[in-house]
Amino acid sequence: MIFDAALTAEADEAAASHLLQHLRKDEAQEDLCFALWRPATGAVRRTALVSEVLLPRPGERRLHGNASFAPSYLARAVLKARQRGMGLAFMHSHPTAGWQDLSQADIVAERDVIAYPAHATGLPLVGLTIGADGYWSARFWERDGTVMRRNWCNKVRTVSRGACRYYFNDRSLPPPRRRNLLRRTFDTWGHDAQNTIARLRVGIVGVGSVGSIVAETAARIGVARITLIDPDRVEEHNLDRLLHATASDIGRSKVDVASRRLRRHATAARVKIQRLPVSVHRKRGYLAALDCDVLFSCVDRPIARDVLNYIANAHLIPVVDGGVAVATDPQQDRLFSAHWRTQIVTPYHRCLRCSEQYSSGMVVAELDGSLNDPTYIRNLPAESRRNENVFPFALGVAGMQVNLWLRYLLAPGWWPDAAWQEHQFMTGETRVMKGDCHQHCSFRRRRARGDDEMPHYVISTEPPRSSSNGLARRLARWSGTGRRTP
Amino acid sequence: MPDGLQSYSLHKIQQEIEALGYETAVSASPHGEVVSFDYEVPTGSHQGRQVRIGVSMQGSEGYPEYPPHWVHISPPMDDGRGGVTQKYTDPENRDWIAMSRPPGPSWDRFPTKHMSLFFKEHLRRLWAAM
Repeated sequence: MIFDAALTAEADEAAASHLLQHLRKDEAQEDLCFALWRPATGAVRRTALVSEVLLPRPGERRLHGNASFAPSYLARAVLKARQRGMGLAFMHSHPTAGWQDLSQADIVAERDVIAYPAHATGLPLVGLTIGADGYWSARFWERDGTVMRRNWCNKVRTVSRGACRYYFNDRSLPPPRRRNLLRRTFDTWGHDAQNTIARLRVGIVGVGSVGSIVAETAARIGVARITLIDPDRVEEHNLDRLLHATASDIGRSKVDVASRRLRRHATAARVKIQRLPVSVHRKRGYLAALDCDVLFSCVDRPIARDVLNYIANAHLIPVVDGGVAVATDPQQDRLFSAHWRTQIVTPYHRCLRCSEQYSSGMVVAELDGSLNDPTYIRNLPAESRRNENVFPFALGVAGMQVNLWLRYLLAPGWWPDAAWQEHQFMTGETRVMKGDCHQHCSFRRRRARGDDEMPHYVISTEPPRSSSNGLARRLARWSGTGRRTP
Repeated sequence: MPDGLQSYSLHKIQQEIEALGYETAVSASPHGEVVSFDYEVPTGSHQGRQVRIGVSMQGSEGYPEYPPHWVHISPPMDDGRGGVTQKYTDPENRDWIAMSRPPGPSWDRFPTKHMSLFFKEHLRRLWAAM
């Protein structure tokens, strides 16, 4: 198991303002506070989602260059964590910059004083340190028999509307060495940006026409860990759009085909590509997605988008969604209109339901098999139908998705918000769209709730090889006169 | 939860339908348990006709985040909109048609997701189109 921590924008801001209040005034004074977190558990990664900061009340902590807390503060924090069903986090500041080690006094405080009472919450203590430059570091204190074992996090991320920041533990996740192969990339956006991009696990959900281009781009810019999730196999009619596929790949799994090419094209010194030929709503796909630092949603089905909407909001993993809408005029046999749209999804951006990329009704229609039925699809409103696509449009949306993500990753605070964009093919216009979730959007309640929030239909069983007729078979077994409309 | 109902979602659906003044029953179908009730068609070409309507969901949970989407009608009447439909006969020898007919995006915008809205916003539209 590997470990990470993530902070909501509110927790980051509240904690940083409190912990750095003296250091920002050039006073050599550290500070401390407690916070609450929830677990987010993937296949190999456990993340502490810190969402609530419990600032000290008067008399609950003493400042003396270092800082110490009163037992009543710890007791209040443990009680609050238990009441909320959350874990306890202890945060403190250091006067130096970057990822922070722990002094002996820090270790004694976390391991010997706080970690044991913290286990009354049923979850391990999470310790976080913020450097004078606002750089977070974190570790879990887990009980192993009578010993309290420290597990350093690989990284900490903070998610806000303007940007997602990642703070790395260079010991467990060292930055890549500058290589001539990536000289132009390093020189374009700088070493800090490249050191971030290269150390993220980038997930691509849907490795079709758009996803294969996103994956290729990730491999080319030096991403060293790529997760590909797609249950489909290459079919003949994919070959006009599927970047890595040739006629000899027909029948092979799309993730296998993409993976083979990406290994050759990758510019990272050592690239690891994880292939999951399953849907993201199967448990294996879902847990692999939770191990990622960013997810590209390159899907056109409601269930996958619903799962990714959950992950973006509940797990604080930014999702970059993209989609193409094509309308044809069948009577005149020509293109009528086309547009593509991309958006960042986090708890601070409009969710995919509110931007009408899918609806809960479409999710249940897909669950019961209706979306495989041509008559049913023909009768849907135009915006709910699956759309066709061509390679140039796929290039357009994939490029827009990757650039939107890079912008979100690299943006300094003063860049204007542009997390939702649409390009109209006919007019040639690209516009930045604005909007928040509807007032009653249920995803607003899911922010940083981690493992407490999962779509009810995420299941652990894998489908049989030819699953498309599963429902028909089930219906046929019933004694009635089951049929699928043509 | 009543003995007959396996699903908390359907139990909640049943409670909400009964709160609207309908007398409900629970029966088995190819799509799991169905909460059914007598219903007078409010609009469309069948307006005024007395039918029995049933509501069920794929999977055991999910309501009210996800709307019920199986609409069962007895006697069977097909709206011709495709999707997964099935005719069957229940243990009491009543003929039904089950159609997958989920509500549209409006379900996601309701302040409180409740069967009263399912009736007003969804069932009414279904009958209007038949």
